[in-house]
Amino acid sequence: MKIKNNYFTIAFLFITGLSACSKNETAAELNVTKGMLSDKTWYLDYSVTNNVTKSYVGQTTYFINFLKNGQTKDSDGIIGYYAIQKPTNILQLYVNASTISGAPANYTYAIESVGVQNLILSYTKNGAKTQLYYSTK
Amino acid sequence: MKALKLQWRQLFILLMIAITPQFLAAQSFFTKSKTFLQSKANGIYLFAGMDLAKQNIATGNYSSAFNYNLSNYNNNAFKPGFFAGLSAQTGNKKNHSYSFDFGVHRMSTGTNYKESVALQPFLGSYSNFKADNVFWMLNTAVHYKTVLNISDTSKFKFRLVLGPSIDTRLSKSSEDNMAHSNYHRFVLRGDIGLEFTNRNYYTFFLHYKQGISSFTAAPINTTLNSFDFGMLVKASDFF
Repeated sequence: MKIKNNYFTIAFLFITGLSACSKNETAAELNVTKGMLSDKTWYLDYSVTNNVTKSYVGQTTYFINFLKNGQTKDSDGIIGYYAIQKPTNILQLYVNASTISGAPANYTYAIESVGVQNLILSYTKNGAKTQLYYSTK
Repeated sequence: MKALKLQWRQLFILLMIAITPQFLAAQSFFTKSKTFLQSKANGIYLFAGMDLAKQNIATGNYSSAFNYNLSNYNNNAFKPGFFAGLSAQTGNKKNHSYSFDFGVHRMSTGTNYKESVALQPFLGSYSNFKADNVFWMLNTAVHYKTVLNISDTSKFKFRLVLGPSIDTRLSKSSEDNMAHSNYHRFVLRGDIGLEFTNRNYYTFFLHYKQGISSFTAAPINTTLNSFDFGMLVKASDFF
């Protein structure tokens, strides 16, 4: 009987051990997002406001870099730090930077979609939503 | 000096007398153990081989913040892996037998995405889900086997194999999928296959395993299908 109980205990521990994985889903999501975003130059290809699409493909366009160490700099000379967080159900990109003249340039974008080659950010200003479509070229 | 030599000789003889019973007991233990292993190993077989596996993926209305360009991930192919394990087989009564198989598989799977999403104005087909394609799995199967009346069954036996199997994912899922706990730990599959035995020397087998339960959490429906082919040999041949 005791041996049988031991077998049950071992089987229970084995199954529990397999099932109990550490589930820090948000941390994993933030990590993957940062991995996809960082150490690349993102070029703005399109912007969409109120269903009106502007294309910048084939033109000298705005670009932004996100480095692994948390620094960011863009083609306008804005340099600072960025962070990715998920305070609600939406991933957000916070940029805390300053212009060449030293004026603060802080903004927050929603990350609608992120991949290895494509990034869609959005923000709402005066009730109008603007989506920014970036690619790595 | 002579007395000292004599003492060493006596000491050696005494030592030999002292350890002989232990030596004989140990020898007897190893002989019994070997006999025990051989008797137990008669119904135990070892197997090894390679598999070809593919995941068929229907993402349904799954959405996430990640996008994956399907031109990099959708290959609709079976990819090779390998496995090894143990099989406990019951006696062959009236050409019917059963086996309990335990194998460790290193699966490398191809992926067949049945649905895609658009990211307009970007061109191309995308998915919000990226399937993992390498898994370490523990496969546990119960197989019913029946001998087919093909050729001289006293020399060569062809068996039809049927039964369910459960695959337990031993490896972690990728961080992309950990973010949404997309992959299940267990997947139930149905096996069908053929085995060819040559005079009880060895057995070649080919099994097809069709996914019954989804390998991924709803709304993603992923069936894991594979072909396993390999060889079975009696474990007693190795002891």
